[in-house]
Amino acid sequence: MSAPLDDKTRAVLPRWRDLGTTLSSGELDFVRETRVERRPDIDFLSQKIRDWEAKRTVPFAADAVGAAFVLGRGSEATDAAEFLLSRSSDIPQATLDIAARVLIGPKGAAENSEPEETDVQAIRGRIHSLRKRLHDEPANAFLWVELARRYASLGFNEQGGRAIQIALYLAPNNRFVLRAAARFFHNGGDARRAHDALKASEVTRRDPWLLAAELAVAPLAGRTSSFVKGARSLLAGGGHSAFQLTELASSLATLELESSNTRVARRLFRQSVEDPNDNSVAQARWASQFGVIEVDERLLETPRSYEARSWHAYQVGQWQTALSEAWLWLKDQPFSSSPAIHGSYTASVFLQDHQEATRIALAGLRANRRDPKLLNNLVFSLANEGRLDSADEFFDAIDPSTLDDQGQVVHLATSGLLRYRRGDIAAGRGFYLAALEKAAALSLPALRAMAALFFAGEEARARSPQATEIIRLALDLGRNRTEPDVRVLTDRLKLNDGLHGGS
Amino acid sequence: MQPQQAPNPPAAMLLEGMTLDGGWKVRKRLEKPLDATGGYFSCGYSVECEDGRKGFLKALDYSRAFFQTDKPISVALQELTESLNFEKYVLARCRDRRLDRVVISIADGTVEVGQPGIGTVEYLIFEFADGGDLRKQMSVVNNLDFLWRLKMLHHIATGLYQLHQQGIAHQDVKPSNVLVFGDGLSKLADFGRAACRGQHPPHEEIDVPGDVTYAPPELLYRCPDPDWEKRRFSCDAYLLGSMVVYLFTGQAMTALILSEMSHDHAQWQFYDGDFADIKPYLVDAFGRAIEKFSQHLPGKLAPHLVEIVRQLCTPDPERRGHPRERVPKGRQFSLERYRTTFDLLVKRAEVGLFGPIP
Repeated sequence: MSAPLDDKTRAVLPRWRDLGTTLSSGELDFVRETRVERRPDIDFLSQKIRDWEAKRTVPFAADAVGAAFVLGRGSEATDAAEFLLSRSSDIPQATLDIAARVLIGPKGAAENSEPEETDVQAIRGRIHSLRKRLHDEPANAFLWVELARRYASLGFNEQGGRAIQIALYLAPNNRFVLRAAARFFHNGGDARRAHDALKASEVTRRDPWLLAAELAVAPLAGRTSSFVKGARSLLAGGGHSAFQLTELASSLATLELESSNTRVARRLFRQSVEDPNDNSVAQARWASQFGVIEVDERLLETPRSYEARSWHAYQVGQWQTALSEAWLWLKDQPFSSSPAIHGSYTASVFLQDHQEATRIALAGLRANRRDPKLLNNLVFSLANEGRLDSADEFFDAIDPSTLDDQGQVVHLATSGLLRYRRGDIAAGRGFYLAALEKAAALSLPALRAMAALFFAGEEARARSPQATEIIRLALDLGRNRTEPDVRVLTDRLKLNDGLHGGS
Repeated sequence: MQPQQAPNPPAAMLLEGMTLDGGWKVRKRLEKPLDATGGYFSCGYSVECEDGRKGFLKALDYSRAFFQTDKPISVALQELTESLNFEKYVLARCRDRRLDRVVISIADGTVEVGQPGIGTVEYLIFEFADGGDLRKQMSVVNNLDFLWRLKMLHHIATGLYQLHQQGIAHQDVKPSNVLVFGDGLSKLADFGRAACRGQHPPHEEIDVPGDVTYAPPELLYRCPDPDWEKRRFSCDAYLLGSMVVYLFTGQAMTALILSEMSHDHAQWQFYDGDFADIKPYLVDAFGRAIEKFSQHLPGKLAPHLVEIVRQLCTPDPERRGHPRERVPKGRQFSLERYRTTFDLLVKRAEVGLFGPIP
């Protein structure tokens, strides 16, 4: 059987994007409680503009435009900027770029641009060019982070780890570096190290973005955050914009929800979406299933909310949208297994598009070669495509010792599937029954129902004499359940009435 | 009701036609209005001596002290006097040491203009740069004339090197302070914002002593090194690198770096953090600025100039300067190697190694 992505727990782990995208999101803006402007003791710009007006040649115009740009007073040099742009053919591009910036203001935020290509060749090419730049700029911490991200996207965690370590050494208190490091270590299964990196920084206690990450990572590392009190007072302090506090409010709300302080959680979740980012929207979407917040369509328009949109589409039965958003989510966070698990499950179970499920599972496996859920979902889709040898190969790559309770049930069911498809019905039945038993023992009724429904599908497909009995059992277990996957498989089983089967 | 009298023009603006000590005849007041061009308010004139020499006269306007609202008149007057005396001291030192790549004063003095109030004007007369400043020259120089640009850089590097040898940091190297003379020589001018070992001029405590639009990032973001030598000489090293960028792109390195930063991070006016917080963003933007700069360079010259700018303009003052000079104590910002490198590049350009000479 295919394994769904766990939606019962979610932490506000930092997103990890390339620097340009992260900068344009505003996540790296300085957190200032006050804005005091410092003015130079001499008005250099007025002198340069007078010189330009007297001479009216390119170098004087360029001097005035450059000064206006540095001083943030572009409106005073529009005449010079227009002059330069009107004579662009013999003017250096650097000057033209600055003249354009003076006329049109700061670069437009590229928040709505799609994530970069995750094709292996494209990533390798990017690694090559980053290494080349690092040869000239070894002290550029951000380049090391970018390199680590690309390595992580290809599953080269050792090389990625080295790059992250260098970045941490170069900029131990930088928000971008620390959040990337936390995400990297967590992704590599070392939540304690992720927490150590955040806790060790002297700026974490006063930086809302780092505090949010620390609050999210501490429980995953099996620790209690020592910054909760500080985080509460920072939230209540009123010195920061709603956007700067969005993840912190979301992280704190999650802790309160997990401590059953529903009232406080509700208030904090509401605060978190006052001016949200995609991460706090995804968290709000997750929290909505517990009734503490409602997520309206407007929130889903928040740039890069692929995760939230994919889950939302999943919940309202728009499977194709759920899948396409999962693809974007994977491109956005290519080192993460979650989008590919979610996408492959959606493609297989709801759309019965096993080729697409195979494709997204393989894409996710690039970064997480040993992820048991991804391997399982790949095996499921390959088996349904009839590629049994490949399915067996990937099934053997699953390390049973890494499986959680749910994973053990799924593993037994998938073993059953492979046996059925090889024609060994008795063995297949044995594995499925073991899966049902295990799910019952672990009190996982929804999973038990799903295993039974897949089991019934295989029985029907094999035209087994016991098919009717198993179908009845599956329909019984699926009755009154509200999960979309159980509902869809139940309806499909009813429709096929055991005549055509298919999983 | 008494009719309102028009305010008297500052005495410094009334020198036209006067004859000064040494036979200097004051000709035309220069177009540039009375303004602060260095450490104090002044205005300029063209002057000519009886022996035919031409000069540039800088007249100090004391009356401005009365209109400064941020400090008492007595303090403002004292600062003006101290600034002028400091500049005279620096110029005298340059003259005594026979520095030939800086613009030195050839005369100074005071003159009475008979104006009510402050009628005494102090002045300095400098060698006359018939080629104007670097901006004026850039208007007429062929875009492909790399030889001329390299010569300018060699002259600037030599001027700074000579000053550093005397314990003087210029701190305000920019195109308008590089004057070009008829023989093709260029010299550094305007010591109004200089720093001198052992001296304490009024502008000593200002965050950015020179033109803020050309300033190195550590000064722009208000994080100067507390060590006097490092703060002053690393600033000059950066400004030399910035002149390389200017001569090939028309822009200062500071503008290029800020153009590669996010809008929020480029707002240095509001920055109140530590240098360590902004440094990673500056280092990253600098990398892209260098890339942009390199696109303006001819192929064979590019590696040399890129390396020089990388060393001189790196936003991290700890890493600034020639790598081989970083270890010997006190030589990190020595410009000697750059002076000789530019000289070598000029010689190579003269024999056409970097392409045809226009």
